[in-house]
Amino acid sequence: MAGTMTALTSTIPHPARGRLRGARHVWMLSAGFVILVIMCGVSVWLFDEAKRDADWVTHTVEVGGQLSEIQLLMHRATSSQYGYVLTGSSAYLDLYRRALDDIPGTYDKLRTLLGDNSPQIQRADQLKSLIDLRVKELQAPVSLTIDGRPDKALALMRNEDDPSVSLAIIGVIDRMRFEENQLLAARSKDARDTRLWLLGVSLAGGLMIIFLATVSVAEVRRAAAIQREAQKQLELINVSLEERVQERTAALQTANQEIQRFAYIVSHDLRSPLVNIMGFTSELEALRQDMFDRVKASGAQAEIEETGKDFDEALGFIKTAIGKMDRLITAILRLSRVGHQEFKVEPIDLDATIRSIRSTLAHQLQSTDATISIRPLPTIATDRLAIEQIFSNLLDNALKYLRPGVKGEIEVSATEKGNFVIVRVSDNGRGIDVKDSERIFELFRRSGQQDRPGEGIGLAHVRMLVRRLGGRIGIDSELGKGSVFTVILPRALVLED
Amino acid sequence: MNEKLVTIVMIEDDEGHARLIEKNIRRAGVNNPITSFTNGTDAVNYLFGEGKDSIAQGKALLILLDLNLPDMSGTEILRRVKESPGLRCTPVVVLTTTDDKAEIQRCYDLGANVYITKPVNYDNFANAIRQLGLFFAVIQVPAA
Repeated sequence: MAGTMTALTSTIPHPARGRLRGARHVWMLSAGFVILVIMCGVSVWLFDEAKRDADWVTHTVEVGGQLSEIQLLMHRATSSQYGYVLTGSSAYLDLYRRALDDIPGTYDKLRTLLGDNSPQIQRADQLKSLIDLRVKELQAPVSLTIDGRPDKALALMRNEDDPSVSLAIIGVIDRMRFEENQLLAARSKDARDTRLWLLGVSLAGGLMIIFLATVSVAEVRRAAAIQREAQKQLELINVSLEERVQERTAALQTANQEIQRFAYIVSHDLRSPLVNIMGFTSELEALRQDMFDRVKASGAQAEIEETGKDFDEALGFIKTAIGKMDRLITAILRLSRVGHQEFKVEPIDLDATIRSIRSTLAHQLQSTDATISIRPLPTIATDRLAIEQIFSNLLDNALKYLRPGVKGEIEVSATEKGNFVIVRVSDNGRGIDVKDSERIFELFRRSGQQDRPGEGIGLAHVRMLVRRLGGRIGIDSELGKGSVFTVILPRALVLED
Repeated sequence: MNEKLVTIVMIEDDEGHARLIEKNIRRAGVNNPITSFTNGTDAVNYLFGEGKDSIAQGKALLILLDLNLPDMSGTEILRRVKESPGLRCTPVVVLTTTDDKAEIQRCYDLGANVYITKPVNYDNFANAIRQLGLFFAVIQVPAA
């Protein structure tokens, strides 16, 4: 048995290993969570980045737009200047002025768009001074025409027509446009790189999560398998535990039987020498009678009378002692038999049973002028003989220890509580001292005035029977007032085996 | 000694008990020869011995049997007596300290004719033996 037990315990998972596995679960869960958070952040960033890219494209387009606008305005100013100088029509002058008026606004917009891009701002400044220069060039013939000298203005235009400023303006604008496009290209490339990188991170994160999930599932499965195994082991242990309990119970029962057998044998073997002692004492008594009769016949009557008394006294003591010893042995024998007594469970009407016990006590009741009143009692399933022995002993006791001068009133009542029935046997007899309330249930122990025959067996016998019926007995008593014996019995006795 | 007089075989390990029983049998006026054994083995040899060794051969017997013997159980002797073709009709009086009902029943089941519990009270004891004497007087014992 011990061998199999150690083998079983060694295969049970060690608790520390279980804790480690638990820590690993937590670790994996948190790792998965962290990866998810990172991927979330990355997605947000990616979205933000894409929005910024779009903004940059818009920006470039807008810068391009403003540059074209400036170019357009410059062209318009130039062409309307030509128109005015050639035709002198104020409509051209109007057009010319509107174009020039619009240039500063458009330029300001461009400046705002460029922000803090210093190379572009430098170019813009350059552009502005070129525009100013060109505007001056345009303005001179216009002023002459307004002054009424269109021919002079025409001549000025013809002689001093130098396209270098206009070309420089186009050059700067182209340069700026090119720069913007370069910037856009660089930014787009960066954005693409970022996106690729983010995609990589997302993929890696996804793979990590899949990996963690796979490991977790495997881990959970393994844990479940281990648990199943542990459960199986536990069941095995339970079974073997039950076996052990059964073995122990059997051993206890054997020991109990041995004790009872021992009590039985001892009481028998003790009785055998008693028969001899008693027998030969009686023989001695007969011999003494013979001898003394003979001595008397020979005439020495007076002296022999005294010796005879001593003889009788000694023999009397011996015989009393033997009688007592015989009763004690009988008591042990009786108790050992209670241990053996085979029970048969049947429904027992306590009411009828107590009534029949009362009728057997009728003679004693009459001679002591006592009464036994029986309150309604239930029916329980238990052993008839044991119940009869218990209650006839209790009622017998109640009648035996009445208070002198007080009419004996004994009452049997019962209450039911759950699976138990509580039967009370109360009397108004002499009662016992509280300190003796346990003692009186012990073998050969008695309490109070020893003026009634008895060996102190009855209550020990009763307690043994009650216990074997699965119940308990106790006493509540006050010296000189009376006693209440409480017998708690199961409503239905369940026999073992 | 009269050949037809029944021999009382007393199997009793306690010599004191044997003496008391004998005294009281005599007091009852029974004068039959008494053969005493203090152990089971000698008694069995006497009762079941083969051929010439069997002292009991051809004698009318009455067996007084104690159950608590040092070397074997009295009920074992009782069983063998009641199973033996030659001794089956021999009256057996079980005289022992055991008053266990199951034990008594067992003895009667095995074929005991009388079962007497030895009382410690000597008057009762003497009385029981004397009554047994009366029983001896009226009983017809066949020769084995």
